[in-house]
Amino acid sequence: MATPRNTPRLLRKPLSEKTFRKKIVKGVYLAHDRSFLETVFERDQRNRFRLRQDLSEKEHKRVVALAKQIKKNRGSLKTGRIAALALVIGAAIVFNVLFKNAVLTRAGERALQTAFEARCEIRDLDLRLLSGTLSFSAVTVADRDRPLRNLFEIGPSTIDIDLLELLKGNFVAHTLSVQNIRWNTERADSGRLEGAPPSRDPAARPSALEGISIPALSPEDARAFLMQHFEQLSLPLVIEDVEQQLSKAAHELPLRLEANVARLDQLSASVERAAAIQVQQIDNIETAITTYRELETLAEEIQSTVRAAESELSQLSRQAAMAVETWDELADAITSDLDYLTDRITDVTADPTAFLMQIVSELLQQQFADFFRYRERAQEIAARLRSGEPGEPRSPFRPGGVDVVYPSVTWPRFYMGLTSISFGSEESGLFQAGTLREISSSPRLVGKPTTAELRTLRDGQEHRLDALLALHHYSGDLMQLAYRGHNLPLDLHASFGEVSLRELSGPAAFSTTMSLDRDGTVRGRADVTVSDPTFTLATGVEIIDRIIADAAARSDTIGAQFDYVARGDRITSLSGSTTLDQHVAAGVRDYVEQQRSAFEARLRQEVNQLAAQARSRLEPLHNRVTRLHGEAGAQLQRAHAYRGTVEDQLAAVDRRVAELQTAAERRAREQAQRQLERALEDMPRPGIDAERIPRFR
Amino acid sequence: MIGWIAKIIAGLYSNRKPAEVAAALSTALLLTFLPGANLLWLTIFVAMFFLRVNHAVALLALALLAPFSAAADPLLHNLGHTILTHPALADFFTALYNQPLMPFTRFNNTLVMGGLLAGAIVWFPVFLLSRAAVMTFRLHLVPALASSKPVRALVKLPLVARLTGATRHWAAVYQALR
Repeated sequence: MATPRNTPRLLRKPLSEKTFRKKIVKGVYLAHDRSFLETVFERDQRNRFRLRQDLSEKEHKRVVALAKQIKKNRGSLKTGRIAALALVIGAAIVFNVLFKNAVLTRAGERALQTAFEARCEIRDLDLRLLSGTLSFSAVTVADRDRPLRNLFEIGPSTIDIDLLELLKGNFVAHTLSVQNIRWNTERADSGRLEGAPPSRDPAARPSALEGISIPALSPEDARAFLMQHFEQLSLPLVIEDVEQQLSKAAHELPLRLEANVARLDQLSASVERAAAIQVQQIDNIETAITTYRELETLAEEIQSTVRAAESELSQLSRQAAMAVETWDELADAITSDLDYLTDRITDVTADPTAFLMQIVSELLQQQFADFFRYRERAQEIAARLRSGEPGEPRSPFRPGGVDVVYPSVTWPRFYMGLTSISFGSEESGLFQAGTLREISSSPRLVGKPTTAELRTLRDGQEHRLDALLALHHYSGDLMQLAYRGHNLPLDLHASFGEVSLRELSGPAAFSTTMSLDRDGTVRGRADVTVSDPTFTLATGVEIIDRIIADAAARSDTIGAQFDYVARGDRITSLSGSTTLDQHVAAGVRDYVEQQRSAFEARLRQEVNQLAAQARSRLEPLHNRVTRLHGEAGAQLQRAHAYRGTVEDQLAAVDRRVAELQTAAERRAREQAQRQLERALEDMPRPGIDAERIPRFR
Repeated sequence: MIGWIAKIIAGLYSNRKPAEVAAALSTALLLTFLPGANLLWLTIFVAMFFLRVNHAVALLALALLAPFSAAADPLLHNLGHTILTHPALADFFTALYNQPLMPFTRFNNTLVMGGLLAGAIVWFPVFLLSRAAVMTFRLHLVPALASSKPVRALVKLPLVARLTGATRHWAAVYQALR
């Protein structure tokens, strides 16, 4: 019988039945092993379980294995693995010290590339966890739409991060130093990501300045101008009216005049007969009365005929007169049409310098297009990062669930308190200073607006920029921007379709204030002053180019002030004034006035020629109607004469009748007186009062 | 492959604690409910390797259950959203959200919260049931099967012989099948 040399410690001591059952038998979980354990233990004198001493080698080995397993089953932790974990953590710390910067660089670049959809580089990133300092020498982010340019570039920078807040998921940097921030810089290699969609071509946009020109008022074009407005002129209508009137008169008047002449001719014999009556030779009343009655009948006949002839002739005369009067309207129509055409010339040339504002508009348009491109990208990124809110209605299920964002009660998820940048000193003539305050992902938690100040002094040039971003409020302007620049070297070249700004140069001062409200509307005012300017514009119209160059040369300074309103990437309102505008306006106005005078003279000539042609065509008609008018007048006079003759004769006969009647009465009265006196003489005389005897009148 | 299957069989039928298999199954179910890529899932998964949990069984269960997890997502989303947006819990969650490392657990995600809650609720019942099942399997089912004639005939087949050979160093299995 072999005695086991290394009995497991667990099984060396005698065990009570309770301990044996609980710790040994129930420590194994297979039926045959439990049975086996029951067989390898025996009860001693004190009724305790003790391992049998007569176990075979095989049984002993099995007991040892089971004891190991029972021991292994104790506890819930795997201490060996925990030790290994500690080792791994140590290794991770070492790895972190050695490789964390490379890992962070890659992670940062991937995050930026995801956000900006273009290639990004972070150089010399260094993270020091104990001090919470992160620094890098440069970050470049390519422009998705222009792969060979950077959207922005940041130079050497350092950030002090609050590590405790970082563990809470908050990025809180109380101070930040960022140097050499630049936008729209060139890249050596393409910034397009593999598989990215093709970039939009900004040159594909149509130019707003196509078709700019100054009105050309060549005298040779007067006829075309006249024909262009022909339908609106009154002269053609008047000519047509005159022609109709004259034609109608020339056609109708002769027939009617002839009929009246014939009627007067028929009366002429009667009138002659009446005129031939020798009134003084009528010596008795009966003849006179007979003559009077004959004349009266004749007069009535003549009166009736003459009245009708007079009426007809008067009408003919008026008609002829009207036809002649329309002829005079031609002159009025010419005057009226010339006024109309002159006004049209004025419309065309009312604002000869408006195209200058179009050039300014296009320049600003390009600047705003860039500005709004940045804004649109920011909105896209913000929309992509947007999450749910605790109070909002139940969000529909979507893969990955919905993040309910709880407010940060201490710090925002991202916060940078004071960020300042400065280079050199003011005395050295090379100085740059910038300050950013209160940049955060939750400005309402911070309760302060984000502000930025930037001042640059270099080679006598000075720039100052103040910006305020009011994200901590729900109302009011979203952003306010003020910029002032002095002694700026201006050397501007630009091209807009057919018009190109070849040169606008000279030291300039520029100041602008701009506000962006919450519906995306930009309102701003800009003042520019260019000293000793050189201004060359190629509009395709040589005279304009010359006038503008002369105007710029005449002026010591060009000043300009603009008020603009922009929505989206378009300028919706632009008003402004420039001193150059005044000079150019004067030059253009003189030029246009000269052209206009020549054009007007030629236009007058054309109109007069048009009228003269009409006059020469209608002259025979006019003369004929005038002659008819004269004839009608003559016939009317004739009718008047006939009527006068008859009326005179009738009056004379009437007077003669009266004379003869008076004479007959006198004679009758004398005869009666004589007869009375004779009778009185024959009568006795006594007692008769001679005064009482009636007397004949 | 055979060795891997043998390990799983050995895990099921050995003298190791049945609680290891039970914990593996219930933890795998919890991990199935939880979406990945957050500190909470990672913590539970890593912790599993430092506790007495049968990893082979856990990984197998995880692999088998994962395809069905998406089916439960809408329910988990609703559950999580209800909890996360409950007004009475808003202050608690806000305070929790502002504790170090907690945002990285993504507990504020509706699926994470729903999965965590559902997993926590079912963990203990699943643990008890699976432990009892393992005990029954080891103490009653396997001995009964091993002593049956069909199984004895099956053991003599070459493939099964290889399988038993692979598990030979787990004496219990070997002995049970021998």
